[in-house]
Amino acid sequence: MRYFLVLIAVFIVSCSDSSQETKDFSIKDKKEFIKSKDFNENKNVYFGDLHVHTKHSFDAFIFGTTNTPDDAYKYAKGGTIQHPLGFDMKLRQPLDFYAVTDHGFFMGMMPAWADPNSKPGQHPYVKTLHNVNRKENLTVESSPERLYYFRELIRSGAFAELGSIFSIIKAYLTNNNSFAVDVFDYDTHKSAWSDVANAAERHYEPGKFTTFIAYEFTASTEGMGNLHRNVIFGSSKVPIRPYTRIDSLNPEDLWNTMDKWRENGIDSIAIPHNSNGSNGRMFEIHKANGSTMDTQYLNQRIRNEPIVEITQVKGTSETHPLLSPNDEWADFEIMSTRVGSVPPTYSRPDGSYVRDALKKGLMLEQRFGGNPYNFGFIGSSDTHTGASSFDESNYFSKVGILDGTPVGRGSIPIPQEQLDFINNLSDEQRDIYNYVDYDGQKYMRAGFDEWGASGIAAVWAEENTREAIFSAFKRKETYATSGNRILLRFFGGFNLDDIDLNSSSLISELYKRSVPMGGNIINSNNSIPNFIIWTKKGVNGANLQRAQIVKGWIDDRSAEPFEKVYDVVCSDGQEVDQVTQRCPDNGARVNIADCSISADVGDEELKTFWSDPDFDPDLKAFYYVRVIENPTCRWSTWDALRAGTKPRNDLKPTIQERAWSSPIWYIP
Amino acid sequence: MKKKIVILLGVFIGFLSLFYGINISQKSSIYISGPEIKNLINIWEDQTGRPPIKKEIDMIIDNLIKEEILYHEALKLGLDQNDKIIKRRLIQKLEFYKESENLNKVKEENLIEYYNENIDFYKLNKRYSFKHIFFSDPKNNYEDIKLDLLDTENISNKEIGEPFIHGDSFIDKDKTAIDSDFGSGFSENILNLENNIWYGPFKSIYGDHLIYVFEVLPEEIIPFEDAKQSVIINYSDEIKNEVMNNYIYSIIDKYDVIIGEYK
Repeated sequence: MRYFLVLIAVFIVSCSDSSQETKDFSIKDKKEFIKSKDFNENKNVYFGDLHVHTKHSFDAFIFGTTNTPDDAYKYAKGGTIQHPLGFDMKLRQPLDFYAVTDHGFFMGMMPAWADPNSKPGQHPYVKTLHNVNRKENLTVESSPERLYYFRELIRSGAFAELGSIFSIIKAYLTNNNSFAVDVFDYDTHKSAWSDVANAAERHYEPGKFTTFIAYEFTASTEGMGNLHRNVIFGSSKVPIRPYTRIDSLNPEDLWNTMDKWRENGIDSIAIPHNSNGSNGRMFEIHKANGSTMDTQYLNQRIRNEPIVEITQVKGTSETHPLLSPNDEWADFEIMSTRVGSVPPTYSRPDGSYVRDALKKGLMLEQRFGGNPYNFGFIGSSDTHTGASSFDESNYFSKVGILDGTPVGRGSIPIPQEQLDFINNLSDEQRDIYNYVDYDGQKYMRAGFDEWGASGIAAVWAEENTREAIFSAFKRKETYATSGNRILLRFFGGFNLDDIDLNSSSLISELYKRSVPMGGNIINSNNSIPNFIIWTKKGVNGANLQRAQIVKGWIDDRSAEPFEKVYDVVCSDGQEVDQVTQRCPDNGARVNIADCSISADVGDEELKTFWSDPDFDPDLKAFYYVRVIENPTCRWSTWDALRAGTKPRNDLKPTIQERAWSSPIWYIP
Repeated sequence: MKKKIVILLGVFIGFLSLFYGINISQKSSIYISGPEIKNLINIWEDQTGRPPIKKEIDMIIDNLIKEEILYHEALKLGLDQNDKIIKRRLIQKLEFYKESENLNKVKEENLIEYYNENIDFYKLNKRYSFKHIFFSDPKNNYEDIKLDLLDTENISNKEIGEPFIHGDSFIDKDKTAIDSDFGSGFSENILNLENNIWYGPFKSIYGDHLIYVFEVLPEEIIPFEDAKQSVIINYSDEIKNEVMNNYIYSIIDKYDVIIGEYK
């Protein structure tokens, strides 16, 4: 008995609140050979991806990904790495910044479970996973088995089964619930997190290539409403472990933790993503627990979440045709279901899209005096292979073995041999791995057909360093693209009509006299706000067709929100129709037979000065820019073209790639 | 924290009085994994040239169960202790397993040796610093413009051309970076220009550019200390491959390798 009590005493002393323990991962003797020579007070544009999974994510490894964070950074810098199905992946142009954001919960556990020699691999629940990613197992035919084991692992209750009473107590005392889960191993978990952090430090080259230590907080509501966020740290000093959905499913608890980290000198931001799959829960008008919002909530949310991911492989979350019936470009890469729902379940649009959230933000500001949705935009990929897939003509999607082939992602019919294979599967496996009929042909039924080659995070920053880019996130001087590297400047202010758009001092003048994207402009003698929009096509993109302003505002008495889309500059010298606020058709077309596009239509550059024709100085409003390219083939059409099959009738054959600026808000 | 400890101690004392001395019988579980069975079935098939029938599959599973039970019992009796064969096998496994950990403790001299052998990886490309004047629509008087620029070499050229969204000056850009900003192949125009002279026009995907190179930095070897982090990453990659290859070559003679028809 005495021995037992001594043991307890030692045990208790060894416990402390692990969510607030920190570690500095910076490399002490690291030399910075590439000095920052591109410092530009008028800011440079940098392109990156802030949403990348590697083998440390359970749902990446199970579908064949063995690429490490080091591999991911190698890819971002322009190197070649391998897809789980064996082909090479390489970017057309290297990126300027990248963040590996593996799922925080059970980070690193899946590779350990699959290793028959590891301690975590001995648990009875995980033995089905042994050697799952040995080379000979990396085949398309392994897909149903992987899906089946994955589902069974979740269904088995392995993630919820509690360990010994000691581990439960340890979890309680250290505020680390993961300890209580029997299949969890803290050493493995911390070692994976160290690998993520160390790789970010190793690959950071100030002035040339920026990395961020980061992870994904993968919370969801009951009924699979997606509340995922990526947590991006601004420094090399970070917590010793990620704060995850095992700690809490409530994003407010994440923000509390981030606030505490900030008090201890660790700055971070959380970037919500896939609001489209949240079933209306990402951008609500009350708190997650249903209670009324208050100033503390509003301020805390926007303090921790200054930007959102508006587009990624699992669809674009700008707006939905049901929410924006008068916006002809609203039906763009819509993913209709909740993230991870099996069977796929419809996601309610209201509360799931960012334009709607911007409008709700104005309403909440009117009611409570604070705006939780005063956010800017970025895009990112959410790849689960370590490698972003941005190129429609060379698309490899997201989930490794499952969607790494045209058949797997449902763009071409299933060959007879594979149909036989599926027909011979067990009923249980066919529940999750099966096909559907479209137009007399059989295609995989997985929902991957609603995914796409998107998106990119763009920032305007003084130099390519972690400090400068992180600071751009916080002031929202960011924009998103659906995969191409469109260049976009956007400024707002008053009395800008005397500015010479062709002056070489245009940008420095605009920084002096107006605010860039992400800023606020405050009523100045009831003057009409002016905006400057300047955009150029990306080097591998199609020509630009039009630039638009999306405006949202609320009635000052009823607080009813409104929105309107204005074409503000058209390509090919055409004029905007002042009644419809639309450009005429520029005639750009795509030949679906070979994916060729109209030559000499559209512009390389669009630049204009714009004043709001419907301005009311008393009404709160936001304005953001949307740039639309000429149409090009969608990835599914490219897949069909290469396979010599007909593109599916129910999928859009073409896409108009685009960019979205962060908004500028008008405050009366 | 203190409050939590007090609560827990209370709960503990309560539970101890309940459970102290109670001997809970534990039943060990044996788990036979699906892939393992499948693997053995495949081996059977390879060996005999036909799939096993139901009875034979049952026998395979039965053998696996027996194997697991005997293995567990042997462990319980401590029969794995002091067994030279098991010892050697475990040591070999551990050595293999530990290779990756050893990577974190690589010696400086290995890194330097690797760096010297692969010095081409640690070169900075030739870099160009230049300014440009941009025209979205082609002009027909470029030669006059260049003459004007010559006359006014020391005055700002702000009134000529149009603003370019990436800016007017580019510092220390290599070939890839130039192509990233101006489009594929544009850098070819710049590679052999003399310094401090206006050249052009050169066509990019955006329009015409007059170019004035004012500094070219030659290809340069990055000193070891500065390249060390990249050396560690590359060296680790190579070691991982080497370890695997050595392992495979050490055992490959035990196999007849047969590669199936694939054409």
